[in-house]
Amino acid sequence: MTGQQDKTHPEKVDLQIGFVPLSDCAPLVAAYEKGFFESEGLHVTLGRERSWAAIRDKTAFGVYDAAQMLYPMPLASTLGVGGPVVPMVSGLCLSLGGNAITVSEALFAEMDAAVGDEDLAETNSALAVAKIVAARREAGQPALKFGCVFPTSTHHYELRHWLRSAGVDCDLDVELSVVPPPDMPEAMRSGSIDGFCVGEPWNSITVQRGWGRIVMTKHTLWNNGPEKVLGVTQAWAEQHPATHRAVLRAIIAAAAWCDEPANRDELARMIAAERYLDVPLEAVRPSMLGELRFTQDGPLVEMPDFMVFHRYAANFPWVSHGRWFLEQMTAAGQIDEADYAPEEFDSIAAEVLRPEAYREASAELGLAYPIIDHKPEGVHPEKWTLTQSTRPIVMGPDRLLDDQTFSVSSEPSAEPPSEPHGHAPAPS
Amino acid sequence: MSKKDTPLRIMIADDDQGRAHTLAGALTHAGYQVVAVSAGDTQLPAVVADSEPDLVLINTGSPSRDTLEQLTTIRHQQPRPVVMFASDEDRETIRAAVQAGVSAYVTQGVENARVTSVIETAIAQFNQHQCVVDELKKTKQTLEERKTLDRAKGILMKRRGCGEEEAFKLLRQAAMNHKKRLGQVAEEIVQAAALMDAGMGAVKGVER
Repeated sequence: MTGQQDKTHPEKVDLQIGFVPLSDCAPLVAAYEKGFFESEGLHVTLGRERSWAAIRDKTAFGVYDAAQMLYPMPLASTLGVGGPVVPMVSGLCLSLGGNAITVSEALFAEMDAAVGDEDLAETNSALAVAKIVAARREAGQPALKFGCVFPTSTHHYELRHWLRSAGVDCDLDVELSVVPPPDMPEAMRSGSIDGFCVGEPWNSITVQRGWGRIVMTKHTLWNNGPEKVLGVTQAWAEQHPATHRAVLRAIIAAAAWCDEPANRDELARMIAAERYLDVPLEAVRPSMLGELRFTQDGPLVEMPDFMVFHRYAANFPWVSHGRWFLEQMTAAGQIDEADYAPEEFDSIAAEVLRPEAYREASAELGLAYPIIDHKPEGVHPEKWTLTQSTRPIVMGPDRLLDDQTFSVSSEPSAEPPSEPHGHAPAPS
Repeated sequence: MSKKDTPLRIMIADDDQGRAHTLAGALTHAGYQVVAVSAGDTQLPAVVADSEPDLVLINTGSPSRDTLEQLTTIRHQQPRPVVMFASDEDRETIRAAVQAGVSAYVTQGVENARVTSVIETAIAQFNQHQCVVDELKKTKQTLEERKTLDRAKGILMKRRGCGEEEAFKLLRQAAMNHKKRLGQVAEEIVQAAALMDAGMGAVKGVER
């Protein structure tokens, strides 16, 4: 029962796929529960892991055929950052956004006082922290402590991005440590950390318990910034090209289903269940519906793009996003420029991110896809239309905090729209 | 300076304290020095700093592993344990370890060859203490669901005289239309079929 266009027989149909209990595992859960895997002839068992290191190692050793991974993980594994060298590839981005930075009630009160008459908002939150950092240093008080979920995590770089925007040096001015997501609320309540960056539902759970307040969302740091990918080892991808494509087709179709507003309520119920997140429905439901409560008694703020699963070409593995994360790893001191020079980043990223695999799967599904591999960031404050694609694709804003920009280095920018390309259009 | 003659300093981090202590006993008996046994939590880096192990053994699936991982990317960190892996000759050992659910972090400078037998002891202990019950349960659950799906397809094929692909499409459509999980729809069909067949006395309607 493979897709209609593709008659290639998958090399392997019984698959183990790893996931971490976070809201953005949704496309994998939906692919299983709504029959997207089965309709590609794939019999999938989803394996829940509470450690990113376990996801990495079990994928590296073939316990898992594929797994939900933090966007930087396949890059880190390929270069051996923080672990052994195991080349990995990704042909699919699972989600955009979905993270937030939450601070303790005590730190919030300090931040609120630090901004004086101004209202404390996302836009001045880093500045407020910078003032507190300076005051504490002056008074010889201990540095603020922030938690993130893994050394090579989007969350780590997002914390750095946020604090750097106000001139805070994450290596000197604050203490960063790794805390597993489910332990974040308790770590904050007990005072062992003052703030953290984590994916949902752990921000909302902390807010609902009255232990902290959200002060920054990933969406504001980077509108529609990429978050999780489906990672496989390069060796696995080479041995199972047809299975890889079938997995990509199933998940792309499932991600499209997940992105339909009409399905989000059902999706929230599905992932809250005991075998997946095992949390109360109310912990996952609001952000899944595109609404976020920043404080326990505050209003639900509408954020329709808080977590994106498919629209805006969300599933496309942009090579330029790979370079973005290699630059973040370098800034965090995880990649030594003596080992890998920035000029090599595009080619390293192109080894790991595999747009061509995505394009083949998309074409087989009859979906439009980009025909370029790189796109600039921070240049579209509003929705825009990508024309360098098989059919025009509506893209989301890509604004970065403080109006920074990120340019593509080796390909012409996606702007302005070019002449129609010679690429064959996707079958419709 | 050669540390070759001094016994390896081993730290064990496992939320299953019974298993941790059994393993500690076995390693001590074999002449190793167990310098710390921890339940594994966010304080792990501090325990590593205090006990200065050559080797950390930790439950593969433990969330605390990620806490330990932060030590691997901090350049000035001493001791700096790095997850043990893959030179070709011990690839199978490490693979067996991952499957048994134990991971090893080795401090830089300690040769892999020196720790292989420690890991083999740990694998044996972990294989005895089946802590992977949860995973087995899930795999079984998935297999059950697949079996139910096949039965539901069979029922539809028989009653509607259609092929397997058509039967699957019907099930899938029902799941989509009624906002249900595919497994739930399949289960309901199997139950309804059993009920109807029992009611009509034609008990042989459903196979298996």
